[in-house]
Amino acid sequence: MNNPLPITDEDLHAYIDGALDEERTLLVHKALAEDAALAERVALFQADKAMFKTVYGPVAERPVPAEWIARVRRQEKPRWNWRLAGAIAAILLVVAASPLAWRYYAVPNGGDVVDVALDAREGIPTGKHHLLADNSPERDRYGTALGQILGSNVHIPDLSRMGYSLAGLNLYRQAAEILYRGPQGQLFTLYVRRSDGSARFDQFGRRGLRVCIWQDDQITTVMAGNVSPAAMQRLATLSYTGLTS
Amino acid sequence: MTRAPAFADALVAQLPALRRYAMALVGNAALADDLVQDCIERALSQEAQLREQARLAGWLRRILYHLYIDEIRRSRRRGREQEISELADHLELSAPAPDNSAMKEFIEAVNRLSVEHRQILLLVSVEELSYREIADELEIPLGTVMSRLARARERLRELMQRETAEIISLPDRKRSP
Repeated sequence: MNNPLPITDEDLHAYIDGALDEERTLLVHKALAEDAALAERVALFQADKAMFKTVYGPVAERPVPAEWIARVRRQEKPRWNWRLAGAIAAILLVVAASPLAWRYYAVPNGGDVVDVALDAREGIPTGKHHLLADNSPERDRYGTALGQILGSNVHIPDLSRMGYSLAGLNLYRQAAEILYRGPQGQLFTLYVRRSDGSARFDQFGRRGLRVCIWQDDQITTVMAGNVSPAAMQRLATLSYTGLTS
Repeated sequence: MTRAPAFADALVAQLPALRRYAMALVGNAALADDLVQDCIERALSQEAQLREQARLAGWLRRILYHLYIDEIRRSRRRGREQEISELADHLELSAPAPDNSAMKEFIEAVNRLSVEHRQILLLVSVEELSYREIADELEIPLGTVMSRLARARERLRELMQRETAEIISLPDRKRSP
């Protein structure tokens, strides 16, 4: 029987990365069990590898500057044509014909958008609130109606990764409010309307809520909820990318 | 010029990870953001060169890497070195204070590695690519990926141990005349 080849540095690193074949993995296991110095060396390499994720991983959870996204989308091909517009109009007629489907409020487009969004949030009549579940077949239709109001192709974001379920949609003349419920039933709202064209991103506390405003050259989104700054950062990224995906 | 929405959507979706890669590779938050912006412009103008959208992430990383190499060359011609020490302060280190300083030492050690070593360590440790995927992205043989990775990790260990040794020896140096 042939003696196996000695363990090389490349073997050790492939072992750390899970890229070593089964036979040589067993050899490395045996060597680590017999050689404490080697085991310590491998443990340090593994710790370094884990440190890369710890240090740099969270950078990808930060919202990217809104102007980058605006730049990518600036010359994008328009997503609708007259035929599609006709289809949207037909869908809107169907939606409008359903009295329990959505409510229509004339919320003025002027004033500070954050206050407008929080006013809308506080004005929710709980007794008349209309549920819209994550798996609702009407979800796409509402998304289309939302896009029509905002004048751009947007989608209702899926926040289930953060434990938030879609709870409803309020459609206004020039804006919309999407409502979610968190794991403990807490309310999280996305108020969306057309942008004035400037880029803006900020996160702060107001009226006892954590608020994030994220605005590109097409839409303004005001997110509000009783969440930590870190949770808001993740929710904001998920919401914005979901809206614009 | 117009572009298909699918490309724009895919590009937007890649931006957070691309920015993470840039920050870790460059070690300077401001320069990283500049490079990502340049990378966006380059990607938009060269969209036709991307053969498969599934390879978008690697394609963007390659563009960014080459932009960074160009930047290093320009800086050398100008006789300026990149400021690399600010990233540790820029990153929001969420660990408690003792671990926080360990993370800062780690960042400083990473920033002292060669660009090639930083790149391969990031691809395997942060981007979690397989060796085959790294070989394809860097257009080098699989064996070179493995040997380069081994050297990079050894070098990082040396730098980490040196950081620790320097910190321990500081009081003695202060006392010397």
